Amino acid sequence: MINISNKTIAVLLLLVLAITVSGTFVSISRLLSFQESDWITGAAVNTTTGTSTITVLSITQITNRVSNISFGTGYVNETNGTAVCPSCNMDTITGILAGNRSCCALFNNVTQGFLLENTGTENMSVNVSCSGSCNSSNFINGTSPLFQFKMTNGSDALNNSADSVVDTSPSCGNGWNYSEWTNVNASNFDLCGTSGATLYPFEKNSSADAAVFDIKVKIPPDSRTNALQTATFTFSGTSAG
Amino acid sequence: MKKKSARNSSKISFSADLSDKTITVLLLLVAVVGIISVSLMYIQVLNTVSLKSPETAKTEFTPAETKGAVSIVIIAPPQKEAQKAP
Repeated sequence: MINISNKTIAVLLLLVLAITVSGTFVSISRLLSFQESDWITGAAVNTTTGTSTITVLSITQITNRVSNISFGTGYVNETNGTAVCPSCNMDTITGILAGNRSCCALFNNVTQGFLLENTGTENMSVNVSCSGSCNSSNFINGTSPLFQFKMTNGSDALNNSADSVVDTSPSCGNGWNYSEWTNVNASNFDLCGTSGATLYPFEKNSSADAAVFDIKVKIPPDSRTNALQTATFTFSGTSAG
Repeated sequence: MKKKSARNSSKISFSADLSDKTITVLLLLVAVVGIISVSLMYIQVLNTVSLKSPETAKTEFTPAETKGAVSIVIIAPPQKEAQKAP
């Protein structure tokens, strides 16, 4: 093994020192004369107005966890008499109403509304529009039918089991609009957002990102559709991107 | 004799190896100069490319959509159908 003397080490250190010092001077002189067309691509060209941009990927996504509500095929049981069965009443919160079950013959007992979940990375506003049989006279018909909807926070809804993470807090900052039964029609309804103070209040946090759009129908005894009636709801979410 | 002896001792001291202390001092000097050099470059680069104007608020709006369908078929009660039939 070769033994290097301290003298040799000192010479090497002095050499390193000389290289470092000269390198520093070269670097400083080059940096001081920095020009737009020089070697750092994307550097600010003017220190008073230079702008740097950054793009953060974000996703605006709304998911309906229950895409189909089918009441099936049925009729109002008139053999009970109109006093007992003035109508068949069902909603997607409690299904066929208690005390009314014998009146709703053959219909499916539906207890799941549309569960809307903010599955993106942005808070958003939500509205809904309807196409197809979008009012009670088309969807149900007969005398005094009802075809209504209602919004409920995922955290308050009884039928929220479809939520990926069951909510513990309200999901719309200002509260959901149409929190009471409202007649369905072909209009555009602002469910969460534009009528409130905040523009995009539908939360993205998994513990507060869901709501249930429930449906209620009242079918009178003289109602007949005979053919399948469908109302298609389109829920639109908009975020600041 | 004295002169010769003095010449010899000066030769010895010149060719003698440097002490560890001297090497340590040199090493520290190199380290300090190195740190200063890197720091200067860092400051210069930061000064040159520093962000003077942060990005302004985004104005893009991204829409998303999902659908749901409600369906029903309401038929006449069977007894009514039976009554209608002759």
